Amino acid sequence: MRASLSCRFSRSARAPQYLPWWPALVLWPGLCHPALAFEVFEGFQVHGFLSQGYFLTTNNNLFGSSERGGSLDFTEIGINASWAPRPNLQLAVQFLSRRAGEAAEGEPEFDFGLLDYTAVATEDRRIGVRFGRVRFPFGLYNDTRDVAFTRPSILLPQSIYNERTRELAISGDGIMLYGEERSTWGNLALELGPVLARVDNENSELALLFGDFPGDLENRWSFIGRLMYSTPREALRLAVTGVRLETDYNPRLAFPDDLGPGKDLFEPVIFSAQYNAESWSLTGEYARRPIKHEGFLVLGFDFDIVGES
Amino acid sequence: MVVAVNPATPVGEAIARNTLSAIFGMRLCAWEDGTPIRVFVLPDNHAVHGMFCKQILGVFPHQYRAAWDRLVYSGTGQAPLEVASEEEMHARLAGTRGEARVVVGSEEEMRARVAGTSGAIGYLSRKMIDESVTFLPVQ
Repeated sequence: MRASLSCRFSRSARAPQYLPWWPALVLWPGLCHPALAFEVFEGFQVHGFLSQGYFLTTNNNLFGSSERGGSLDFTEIGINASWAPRPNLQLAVQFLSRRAGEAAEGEPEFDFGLLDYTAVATEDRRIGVRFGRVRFPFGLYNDTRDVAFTRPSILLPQSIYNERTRELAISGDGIMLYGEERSTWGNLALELGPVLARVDNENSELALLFGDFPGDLENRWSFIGRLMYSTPREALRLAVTGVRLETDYNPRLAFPDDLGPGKDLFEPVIFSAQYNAESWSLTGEYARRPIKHEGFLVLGFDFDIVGES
Repeated sequence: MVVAVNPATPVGEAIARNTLSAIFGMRLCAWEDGTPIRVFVLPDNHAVHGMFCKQILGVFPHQYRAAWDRLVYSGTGQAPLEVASEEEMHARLAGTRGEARVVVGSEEEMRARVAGTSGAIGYLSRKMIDESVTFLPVQ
């Protein structure tokens, strides 16, 4: 069993953008994240994680009523199992329960479940494909963003890993091709594939339409890809992620009681860089996010803008 | 510091550094004859683990831990078998928790697991060499 114990203290953290934000004191002992890992039988592993946060703020609330005596309303619990019946074949599944203020109330969610087939595996090269619900390769941290001990900070920087768009960015159903080439000049890894994002929930509607409307969002086939270069000993890691996320809005009521049958096209590009030393790492990420809305028929809803962070 | 494999493992006289790197990065999962590779490691804070990562593979232990966590928690791979964790669990199940503390993370345990597991690979300090495992020089 692997268990790790760590307590963190931070004087400041950035709040999600939809919350009012003034200088605040955020206390998050990061209440220890015992990780659990064991092999049940040969090739079958079970892993889990748990983290409990405590937030104490002034002048704003973050994940519950954090102003008055602090809030414990931030919990992440996950369990996953993987089975490799053959060296080139793996099945993996993970369930997650997450409490985060009003955005998540701890109901179990199917996080990922996939079949991974490696067609080519040598010491220098790997080529394969994943089918099912896959984690989106997005920046350096999205792959494991809910696992506290894989994060460099209490909350990931909201400019890139925004809580509001979490359900759109976290995982989806599709096919992911991957290839990796290692050489004396460094390592190149590419993941690329067509996916359907998880848009059938209130949080995604809030993220894309800024409100909960009578109709529903419908996902269309979208694409995500990440190319990563690292130096041979991985001291330096550089990545670029590109996404083309298409969503339709199907109104339930006739205009003007509902929005028009609009389309949302979101095409973010993220550049990531990380330097690893023995006892510290330095990471920087930059995102450019063009968003285009059309067909909603409501003033202010049809726009074509570019955000940066 | 030497690399140790199960005596029945179909490997040559030596092992290339990039092959080792792929095996301990959990990217190469089978030996040339198709036998699954079973990777054993000591705990992250074990001195021998630190030396193996830095001197043989040229990578810091935290980088390997981060890479294994990414594989496990994104469903794209598996973690190596940590000698301490397995032994501690078995001992706990058997109700011999006191004894577990004695053997947690020991090189004796690493040697025994590599010797007793088909396709196994691990690492040991030179003083641990005996005939139960095959030691491979790194090219």
